[in-house]
Amino acid sequence: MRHFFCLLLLSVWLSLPLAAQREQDFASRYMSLYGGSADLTCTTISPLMMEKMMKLDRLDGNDSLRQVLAQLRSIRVVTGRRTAEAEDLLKKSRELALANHKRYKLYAEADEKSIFVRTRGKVTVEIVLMLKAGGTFVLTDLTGNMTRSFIEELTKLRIQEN
Amino acid sequence: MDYKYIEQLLERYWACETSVGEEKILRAFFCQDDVPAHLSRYKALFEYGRNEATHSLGEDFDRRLCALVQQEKPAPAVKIRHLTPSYRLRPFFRATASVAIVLLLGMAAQHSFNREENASGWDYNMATYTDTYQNPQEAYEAGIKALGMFRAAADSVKPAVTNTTGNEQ
Repeated sequence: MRHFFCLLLLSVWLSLPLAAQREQDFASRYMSLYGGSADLTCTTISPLMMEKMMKLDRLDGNDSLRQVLAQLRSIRVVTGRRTAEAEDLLKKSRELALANHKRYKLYAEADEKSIFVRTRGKVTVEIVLMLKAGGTFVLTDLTGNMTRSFIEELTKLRIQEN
Repeated sequence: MDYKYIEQLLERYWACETSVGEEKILRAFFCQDDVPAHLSRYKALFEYGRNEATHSLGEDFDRRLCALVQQEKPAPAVKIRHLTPSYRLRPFFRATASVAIVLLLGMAAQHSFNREENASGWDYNMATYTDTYQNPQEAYEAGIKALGMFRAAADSVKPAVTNTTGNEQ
């Protein structure tokens, strides 16, 4: 019986770090809440793919972009297909962020655009941009270990699109 | 009277060298009434040995022993106790309580770790990320497009007044 309790305690103790790794990012939370009812698509670039992207030759010579990508772990883009739903989806996304105001802080906003950030200690771990562009709802969710000046770097970025 | 022989026997008696016959002589000597003064201190010892040898169990020993055995208290009656379900489940309750305590302590520790100023950054579960693109080139294009949205949004948004540097709670 004593051995059983020791094993039980050990297993509980070992499972604690695993439980600590069950955080969900904003985009996946949003999809789990509204993905079923609204016509939403979510594209994901995982941490593994981000590492592969860093090895691409295209990044050679663009140090600022490389520095930005190096701080990112994942990118998710949620897009609403129906223009009629865009207003409602944007409203819901803002409400979800504001409902979790302890987790997500409003960083900047305009009429139909909002940027929320999540910080842990001195590190920004998530930036969420929600906007309505051309009548379509788009939510962009970046996660990673980002410095406070990351957004400033991001907005000054010289992006070369082919 | 010369008691040299007795004294020699005593010397050998203390050295455990006397025979059974010699010890009989010593006992017989010390049992008489007139023992010289310098040997009288040994008289009690040999008289005690003689007296103790006469002791026996006695004829009524068996009878007394049997009487004592019969007087002993009977074995206590076994009580039958009905075990209620809650009593039977008590070990389970205890185990559950132990696990609950450990979990609470773990959660409290985790909560305190998360509040630390130097909390490790990225804390998302990697297993929840399933790639949409299998080709890094395609993923790069999509990633650049997503970053471009931030660039475009930056021109129009205004910084919020609220403090964005607070810790997660």
